[in-house]
Amino acid sequence: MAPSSKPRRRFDGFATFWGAPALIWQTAFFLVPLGLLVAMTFWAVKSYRLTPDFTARNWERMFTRDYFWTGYLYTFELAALVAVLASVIAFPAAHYLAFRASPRARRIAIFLLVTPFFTSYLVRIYSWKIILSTEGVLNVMFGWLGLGPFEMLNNAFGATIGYLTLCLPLTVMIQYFALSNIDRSLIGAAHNLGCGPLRTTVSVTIPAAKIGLILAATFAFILTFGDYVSPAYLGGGTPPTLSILIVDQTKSGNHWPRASVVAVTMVFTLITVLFAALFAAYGRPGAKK
Amino acid sequence: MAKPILTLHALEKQFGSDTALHPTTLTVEKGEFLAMMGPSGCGKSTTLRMIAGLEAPSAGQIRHWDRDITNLPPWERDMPMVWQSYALFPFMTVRQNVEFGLKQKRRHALPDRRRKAGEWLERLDIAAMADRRVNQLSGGQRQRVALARALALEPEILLLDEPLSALDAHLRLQMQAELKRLHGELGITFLYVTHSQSEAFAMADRVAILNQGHLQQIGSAREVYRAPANRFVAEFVGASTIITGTGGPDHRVETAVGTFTAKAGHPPQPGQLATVLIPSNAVTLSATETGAENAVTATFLTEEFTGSFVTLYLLLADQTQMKVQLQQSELDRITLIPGDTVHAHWPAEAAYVLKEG
Repeated sequence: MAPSSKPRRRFDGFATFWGAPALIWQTAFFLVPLGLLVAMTFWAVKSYRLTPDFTARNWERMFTRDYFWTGYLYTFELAALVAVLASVIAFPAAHYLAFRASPRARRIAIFLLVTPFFTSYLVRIYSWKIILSTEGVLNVMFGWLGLGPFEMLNNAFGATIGYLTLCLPLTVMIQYFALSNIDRSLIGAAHNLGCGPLRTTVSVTIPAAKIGLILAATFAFILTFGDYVSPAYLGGGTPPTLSILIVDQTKSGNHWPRASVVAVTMVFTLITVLFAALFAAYGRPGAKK
Repeated sequence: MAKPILTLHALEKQFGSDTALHPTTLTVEKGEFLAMMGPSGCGKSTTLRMIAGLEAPSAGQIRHWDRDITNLPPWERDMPMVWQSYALFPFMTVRQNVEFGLKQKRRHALPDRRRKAGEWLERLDIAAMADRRVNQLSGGQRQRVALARALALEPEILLLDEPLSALDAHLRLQMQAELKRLHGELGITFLYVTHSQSEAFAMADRVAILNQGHLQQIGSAREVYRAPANRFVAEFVGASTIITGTGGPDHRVETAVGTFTAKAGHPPQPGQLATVLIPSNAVTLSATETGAENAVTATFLTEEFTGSFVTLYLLLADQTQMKVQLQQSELDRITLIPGDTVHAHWPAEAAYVLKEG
């Protein structure tokens, strides 16, 4: 007799074994803290003491303050700007690595892209301070040309330089992997059908690498959105970004619940942005007319 | 003779220290269907890619009519290509793929290219799937899209790089007939690269056979079949049994399995090496010795049925394998089981001697 043809889900011990550590890690160090974080937004602070409670006051308080929304908008705009800037600056480098560079040049470049991660991000940001300050290297050189001095610290420009320091190497690498996975015959076909290098890039290379390019930009956005070091040390902290707001809330008045409100808002913003990016990346372009 | 549409002059390609193509000269006539064939690594695809401009020649010249296009970038040449992997753009619909060249190369406005692409979609019988994504199509349908995309440009020359090798046998035969029909209807010059001699012989006006970067022979299927230029071509075509020996007087060749008279091809030179081809369809088999000239005794190995023909494989005394092709009906005359001894003979006029040196 033929057995029932209905497929049955079987317990796969092998897959479970390999999947378990990641699952346990994610539960213990991401889901549980996130739950605690959400719970804390409903707690109260009574005479500088954190007290379990169930009140909407912290949400009310933050969401009705202009400085919160100013900070939110500023952080979001900076992150979006950096995502675009990083993508645009990274693309020529990634394109060169994927299509033009010799295997040797490629190996060296990838090594160099990893080395920034060897040194502390904080140290790299401090070195930018030396370069960008009013008496810094850049302004001295501008002085020779009879220009400046330019204000490059304690503003959005300084923060942006810091953000790019943080996310450019990763953006280049993700873009490079995306580009090098493109089927080369597609590039050949584009040339064959009349596209010069620029038209090929616009009409074939970028659409073919779309998923990776969007992921690269998303990474830049996520890193920037949550970063504290660049806005604090190069951006001067005004207007405050959400990360600075969090620190402010904890420092002045030990207000962890309000800091949690900011943090939870950030987490949900990033989840929304990530889903939007994934939808944009994996959506069905052919379905459009 | 008419001016050739395409001329390769001493065209050469090196990859580092490897030579993909030794200096090769050949011409292609307008409207011709030329197949370039050979085993993998013979240089046929590299040659096609150089013609398309996707690979830069190391030396030599490519001319389109009178124009030297050797250094012209691919996007300025007018030779669309059909790829083995189809190379369809996965992020576009079928219709957008077919319109691509019209948009990029011909700079047609949207209504024009929509109309023209529509015509080709109809013509290649894929109009029903015009708005589908490429990855929703079968291999055969993808090949049609790739053809439509290239033909929509209505080029003078169409390049085809093993377009059928990813298809199953049945579909391949169907597409072969269709390509042949399209070639006849359109009058476009087809340059077709393949490793399959059945494809090349079925469709092409002329066949160029390459091996290890050397052009071995170029000619009609009949010429290549009947008068192979050398041993490689004879083996590649596989239509004959090849026996080597020493030339003697009066078209005689002495071999390890007997002395034969071979009147076709190049007269054997006395005392020199002589390679004799015995066409597999010229051989007669008999169970008993006939006393005919050009006869050998052989052991029957196995048989293969293909359509109305049957191919028998025999083993000669010197371990040469002999191929004999018969009509199925002739098998009724002679019954063989593997291991049987059988007598084979052939007319002296059919045995072909290769040109040596």
